[in-house]
Amino acid sequence: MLQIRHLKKTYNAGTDNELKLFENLSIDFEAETTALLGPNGCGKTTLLELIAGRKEQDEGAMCLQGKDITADGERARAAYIARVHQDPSDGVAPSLSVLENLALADHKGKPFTLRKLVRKERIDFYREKLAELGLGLENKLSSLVQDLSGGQRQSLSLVMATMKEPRILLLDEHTAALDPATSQTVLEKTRELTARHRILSIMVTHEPRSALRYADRIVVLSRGSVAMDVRAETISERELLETYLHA
Amino acid sequence: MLSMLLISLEQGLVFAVLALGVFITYKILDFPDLSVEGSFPAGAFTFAKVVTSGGGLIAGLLASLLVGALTGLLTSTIFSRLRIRPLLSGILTLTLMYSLNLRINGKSNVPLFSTPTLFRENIVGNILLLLVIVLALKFLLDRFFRTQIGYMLLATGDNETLVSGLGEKVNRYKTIGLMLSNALVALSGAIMAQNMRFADINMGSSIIVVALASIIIGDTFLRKSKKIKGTTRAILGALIYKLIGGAALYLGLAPTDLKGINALIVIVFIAYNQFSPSAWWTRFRKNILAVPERGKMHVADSSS
Repeated sequence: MLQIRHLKKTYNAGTDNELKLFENLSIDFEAETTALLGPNGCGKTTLLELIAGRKEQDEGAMCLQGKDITADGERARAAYIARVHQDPSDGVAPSLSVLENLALADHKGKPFTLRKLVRKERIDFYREKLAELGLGLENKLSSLVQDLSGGQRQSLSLVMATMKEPRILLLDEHTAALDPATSQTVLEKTRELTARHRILSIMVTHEPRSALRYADRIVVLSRGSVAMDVRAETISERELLETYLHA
Repeated sequence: MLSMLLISLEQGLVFAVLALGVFITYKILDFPDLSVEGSFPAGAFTFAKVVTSGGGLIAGLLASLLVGALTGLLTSTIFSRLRIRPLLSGILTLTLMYSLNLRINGKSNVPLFSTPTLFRENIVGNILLLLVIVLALKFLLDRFFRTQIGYMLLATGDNETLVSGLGEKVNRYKTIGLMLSNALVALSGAIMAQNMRFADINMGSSIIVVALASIIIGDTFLRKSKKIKGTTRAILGALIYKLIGGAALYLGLAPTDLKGINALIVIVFIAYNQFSPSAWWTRFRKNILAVPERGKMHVADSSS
């Protein structure tokens, strides 16, 4: 479980543009998929950035499974947190091949040395991981990632992010740049992967329908505080949409 | 003619080492590193200092590599610790290196007529020796880029978000790249000093243009082929570049015109790299020959 307590974050403090985003946010996340919704500027992405350690909170604490991780920086948190970004190119190295990208993700958490990166004995494992997606990527191991479609690239990002089974998976509008059909495929694969490995995942989205279909819990943020926090099965799309629009 | 060809090949191979160095920062890290204008003469002056002080050839070359790497470390430190932009970091380093280079030997020009050198009287032998050195460096670089650190260097230039997502320090790999790049540039400076038989404070001036020209020309060579490695392209580019420069002199242009020719070569090859014959032909047919596009012809026919 990820516990966030008394989180405070202000942008441009002491200036005319001061923005008090979180004044006292406390929220828990379980090992399930939580959809995070809310209008622009409500703090969704900032919350992900704070959890990832990419930004520092002004005050507050974070505990993961009872261990205080507040002092851990971005690099330390990368050991147990993975992220899939909105832009399909953000989670991959486009000029490298699919195989090389997977080998990089496979090496996460170990020291990078002058030894060879790509190990032949791991190729079958990579093929299996890609085959789970059902996109035929397992036959494109030597293709350059820059030659893949946006959906294939995002699916590869997802496989890379979950390869080392992180304890937390942050999904930052990860299907926003995809067409509806590809978006659905990626969301289904996300659901399968997170459920199979019981990963705590937080999915930022602007689509109430996707949130209800693919998340276990719905949290709507409004001006830095929680406006709604319900189980996905207990709310209709219309109710969610109304809360979302008035948040 | 043969003499021009051999001299151009010889100098092209010296510049190939320079191009391999700049390839790392320019093509891989996407870091505009101007400090090479300081590390190139630093390599020459360090070599001159070692060999004029009684040190051997190998000691001189190794010392040049070390000083070049330290120059890269300086640029990286200015960039990453002081958060100064890459371009300005390089300019600050090259300005600092100008004074340091003069300090190394205490004068702006050091003759190297009676000191140990790689070069012999036989120019073909020199070319073969340089070829072996360049191919060995290319082989080592290609091998390095297949290692875990090498791949992280490639990933750093490609997508810094991925590198930090893997829990690694982006600046660590930028530092490694800058040190490696400037070490090779300094080595090139040391070899050039032996070739010219002197080290001069101004030998780094506009050297970045030479390096970029080599890389850009190399990119033009069979530009659609994905099988030619970047290191091979850099070497080929340096050779072609020097051959073009040599041909310009052979055809009667003055040596003082060389810098202008260098800039023109870069402009022409960049323009060529951006030129698409099929797009040009489409525009030519449409605008000059006034031939309607196929789809539009069909619409016009049906409406008439």
